[in-house]
Amino acid sequence: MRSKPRWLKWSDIAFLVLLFGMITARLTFYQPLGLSISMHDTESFIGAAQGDLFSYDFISSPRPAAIGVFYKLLEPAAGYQPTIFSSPAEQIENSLGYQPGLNRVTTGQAYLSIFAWSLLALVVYRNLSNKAIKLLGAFLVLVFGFSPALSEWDYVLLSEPISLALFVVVLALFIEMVPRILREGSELSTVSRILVFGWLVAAILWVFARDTNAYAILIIDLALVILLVFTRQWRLDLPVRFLVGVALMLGLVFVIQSKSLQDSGRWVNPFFNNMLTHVFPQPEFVDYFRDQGMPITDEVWALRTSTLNEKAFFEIQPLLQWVEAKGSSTYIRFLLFHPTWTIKTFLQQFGAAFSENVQPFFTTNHSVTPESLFFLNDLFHPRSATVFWAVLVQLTVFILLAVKLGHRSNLGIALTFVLFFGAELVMLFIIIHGDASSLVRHAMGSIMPLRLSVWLLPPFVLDEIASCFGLVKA
Amino acid sequence: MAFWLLLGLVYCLGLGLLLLSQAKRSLDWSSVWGGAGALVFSLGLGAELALGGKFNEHALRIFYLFRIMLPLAWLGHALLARFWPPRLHLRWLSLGFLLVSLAGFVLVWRTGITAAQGWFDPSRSVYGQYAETLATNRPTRGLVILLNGYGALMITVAVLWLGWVYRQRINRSTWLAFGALVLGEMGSLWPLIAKPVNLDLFLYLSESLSAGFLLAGLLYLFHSSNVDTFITEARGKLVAWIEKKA
Repeated sequence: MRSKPRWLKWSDIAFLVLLFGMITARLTFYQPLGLSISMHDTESFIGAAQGDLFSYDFISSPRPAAIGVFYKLLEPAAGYQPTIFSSPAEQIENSLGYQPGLNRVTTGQAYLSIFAWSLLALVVYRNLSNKAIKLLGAFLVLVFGFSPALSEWDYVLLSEPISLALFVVVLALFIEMVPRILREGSELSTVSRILVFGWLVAAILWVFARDTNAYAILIIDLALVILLVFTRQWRLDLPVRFLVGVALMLGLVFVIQSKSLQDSGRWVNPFFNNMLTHVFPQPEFVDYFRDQGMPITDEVWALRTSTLNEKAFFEIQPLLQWVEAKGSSTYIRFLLFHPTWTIKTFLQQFGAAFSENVQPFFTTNHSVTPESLFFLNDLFHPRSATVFWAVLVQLTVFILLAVKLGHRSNLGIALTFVLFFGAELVMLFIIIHGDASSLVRHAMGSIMPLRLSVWLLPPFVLDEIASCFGLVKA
Repeated sequence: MAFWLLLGLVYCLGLGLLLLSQAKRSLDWSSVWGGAGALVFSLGLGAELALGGKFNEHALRIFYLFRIMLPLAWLGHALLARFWPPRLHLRWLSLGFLLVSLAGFVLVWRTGITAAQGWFDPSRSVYGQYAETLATNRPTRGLVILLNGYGALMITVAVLWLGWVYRQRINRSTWLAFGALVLGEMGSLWPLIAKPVNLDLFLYLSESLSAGFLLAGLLYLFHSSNVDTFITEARGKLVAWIEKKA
């Protein structure tokens, strides 16, 4: 008897109806896609997009290259004309409005985000076994992704919306890719190879969308190297040559990103912010930097009580020369030689990183976006650092179940979650110690994935439970 | 920290869907009761969450019905349906139970809301406020005690009986499932008795974990081969005992 074509299954139709309904809701309950709001940084994104795409200067420009590419691709002939500014730090807040040219950027950001969350929902749906749990998983992903905490960011002309959407694509392709590689082993199919290639492209764009993302790729690369080194001992059947190529590629991307970051000088302003917040208020820390040769002259010392993002530091040439030559290495040594302070500061700031869950740049139009969505938003994007424990406990249960059942593909997905959890914590550590300014915004790149894990894990845990009791085909 | 309650709801809903999936495959009525009980519990937790945002009289009634009155009784009845020999009038017992639940539904839906709704505070626990806000009459309150007592009794008797009679043959996982059921039962009853005032992590965790423990224990008892063997035996013994008495 011929089996029914896969697309005829009721759960697939239910998934498509769910996806269509949620995308419709995403487009209905938020303001029109072309509206936008600019920040001080927006001008520099526009400026960065003017360079030659194939030159090194484009990568080492003052703004991340992937954002420059995005702005360059969408730029109309008349160029961009930012007209509506917002700056919460200066108490300047405006409503969303039409900004010539930039409407294309925010529309592009919204489409990218919708695509990314739909892709993740599809991947979650595909990689679960029990029909009811598949739909529950897809629903949770879409509610999370289309809630105000993320959807409202698509109107903001900063790097965050693009970086977050690219992360979701990277995660989705990774979840799809890992079980396939484990299943197919050394006989990797063409589809899987294309998938890995697509993941690499998304990962490269993601690394060049925000500087700290590179460290997550470094963690993934290290995990891949460990896996390749122990392939024989762990009796794994893997496409070794192909994966060595991927590992080398990731390593190369990390090196290029680090070099371009160093050359771009993007890290200098955050360095001064760290000095103002952490070093100058403590005499023993000041002595440490003095001993390392930092020219803390009277002119520099006079600025010690300045507000963050102080531009006057850039006018003091001996200081700037020392910072560009030795600043980052000295700061890393400072963190390593003061481990108690480093860890204590990380733990203190950890909770603060969760303190907000909506964009601060414009006021929401509640005639379009109902209040109830913000109630849901608070539930799905908790402002509590106990998110960490929710993820850790679920992850432990998931791994225990995956090990007990011994399904290689499920174990692969469990390890994917562990890997991303570790990478997110490392990223958060670097963000907290990397820039003392705008912690909540900068930390979004690791806080959003941590919050996402809270809702991404239940369907996988439930699916494992279903497998335990033989309910996978129900 | 209300997300903990939502997380509990997601697990409760998921485990309920799994039980219903099993019921669909095996046409097993105990799984239907268990799955429906889990959905009832999820609705109750959902109403509790909603009341943490804004007062709504329908949400309060749903909370009273699906969190205070019915869930433990439905899950307890699911356990009874699992152990009770099918030919011993289970259908009539289930029908009677359904009618009592329906009576509870009608009573709660007809219950008025008091003037206390004006000072209902969503930032405080609904357990400390529902008694003043919902003008329940004596039969409704009596039914709450009756149904929760029935559910708690079924779970306790099932655990004690199986635990005692088959103590030599029960494996570690089954003991864990018994522990989960008892913990879940106590966790689900304590806010009804203690009526906590504050919305804190302890309340959220106890709500989520009690639902999770109850359903995980139930799912295990419904699907473990270790339990299957002695449930068949226990059913036989029960039939023999009843026939002897008759």
